[in-house]
Parts: sequence; C-alpha cells; structure tokens
Amino acid sequence: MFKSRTISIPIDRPYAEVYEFLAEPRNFPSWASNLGADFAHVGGTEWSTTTRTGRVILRFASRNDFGVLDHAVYAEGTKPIITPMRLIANGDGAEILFTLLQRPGMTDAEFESEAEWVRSDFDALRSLLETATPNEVVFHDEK
Amino acid sequence: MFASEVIKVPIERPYADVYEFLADPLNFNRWAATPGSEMQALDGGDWLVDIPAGQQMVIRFAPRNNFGVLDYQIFTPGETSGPITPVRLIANGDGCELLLLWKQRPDVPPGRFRSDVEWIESDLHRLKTLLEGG
Repeated sequence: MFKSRTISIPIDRPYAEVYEFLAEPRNFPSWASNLGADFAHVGGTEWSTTTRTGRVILRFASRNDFGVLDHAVYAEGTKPIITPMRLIANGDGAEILFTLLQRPGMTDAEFESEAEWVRSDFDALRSLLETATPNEVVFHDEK
Repeated sequence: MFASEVIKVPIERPYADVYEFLADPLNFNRWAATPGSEMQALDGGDWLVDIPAGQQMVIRFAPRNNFGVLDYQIFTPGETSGPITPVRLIANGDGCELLLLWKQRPDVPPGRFRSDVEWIESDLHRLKTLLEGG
C-alpha cells in the first residue's frame, strides 16, 4: 500500500450544478493546470493531452448517480493510474473528496509538490464556481 | 453547508475482498451497529438493526456498483428515508482504503459531532482488525 492523502474541498454551489460542470471533460482546462493546450477528445470517455512527460490519455468515469468523478491517466502501453475523486452533497453546497497516492518511484518531495498543485487547482475551481453566475459557467450537458 | 470530517482507514486486504464483505448487509453487525445484534430483512432491501443506544433503526445500503460506493442511510421505522452517509472503498496498491464523510447536521452541537466522529473511527478500526486478522 502507498502513502495517501485525501483532500476535501467544500464548494458553495448546489451539488447538481457542480456535478454537471465536473462531469464534462471540456471544462477541465478552465481549472486544471497540468493539461496541455492540445487537450482533445479521442472518443468515448477518453481524451488526450501532452504533459511534460509526453502524450497521455485521460479516461474519465462515465456519468453516474454517485458523484464519482475518477479519472485514469496512461501513456501508450502503460498501466492506467486511477485517481479517485467524488462529489458529495453537503447541505445546499457540495464537497469534493480527492485522494492522492504516492506511487512507486515518487519521492516524498514530488508527492508534496503534487499535493500542492492539486490544492491550487481546486482553489481555482472553487473560486470559478463560487464567483461565476450560472450564465458565465459553461455547462456542457450530455443530451 | 455543514462542517464535515473525512474519516479514513487503510485496510491491508485486497480491494475486491473488502468490497464483497462490505457490500453484504449481513456483515454490517460484525463491525458496526451493536456487534452481534440481529439484523432483520425488511421489504425493499432495507434492514432493521439494533443500534448502541438500544433503539431499532432501519438501514438502507447503496445498491452494488463498480465504484466501491457503500453509502448508507439510517432512519427510524415508519420513515421513508434518512440522511445519506457517503462511504467509499478505494484501491490502494494491494490493499484498500475506506473513506467516510461525516457531516455535522443542523442541531448537532460540536461536542456531539466530535464524539460521533470518535464512534465511527472506532467502528472502522474494528472493521480493519476483523478483516486484517481474518
């Protein structure tokens, strides 16, 4: 088992709205900093982008009633790394639980730095969703 | 929104084994509720259980799923539903971790919230000991 850290991010916006926003991969570049400018749909739930380590595929969880928003990342021919994430209703708002695992080969310093990146991405997401009026946030509903 | 606390326990057993154990409602009284108490099946997949306060409550578990979601809701007999407690099992290497988000509901004072968190932590540790020792 690996060292893990679960980060919880409260978002003062109704659960259904936050879920719609997060379930649409097209919205990711508006808050996730590690995506390349070439972030593009491959097919199904898979998207591709170029990171500092090369081209990777991101596979997002399909829509579900549990608020599960996991994603898996893998390069051609490698085993997907799954990151668990879930949105939970909390009163009239919502809360994200994101768990970061220290994978083999990741140093303590890299783990801490990754945790800081995640924290700052979620701060960006939170301020985007809490300050935007509904019209400013683009919701791509799957019809 | 309410204050909340993430309660998390690592379990040194394969994810699939732990999910199977937790997804079976009949195992619930081996680590939670009043250990060893009876569980009585009700219509619609609900269960009647004894809780430590000496009452009987209805418990409803999330349907089986591929996400490791193990949410439950507890309510008094006669009610149709209750607040949902979010619980999820996630894989971690050759083991797994159980995550539960406990929310401080309206009218629950901070002291009671803290003691509820401690109760849950001790239940989760009982579960860990049971599964890792078995």
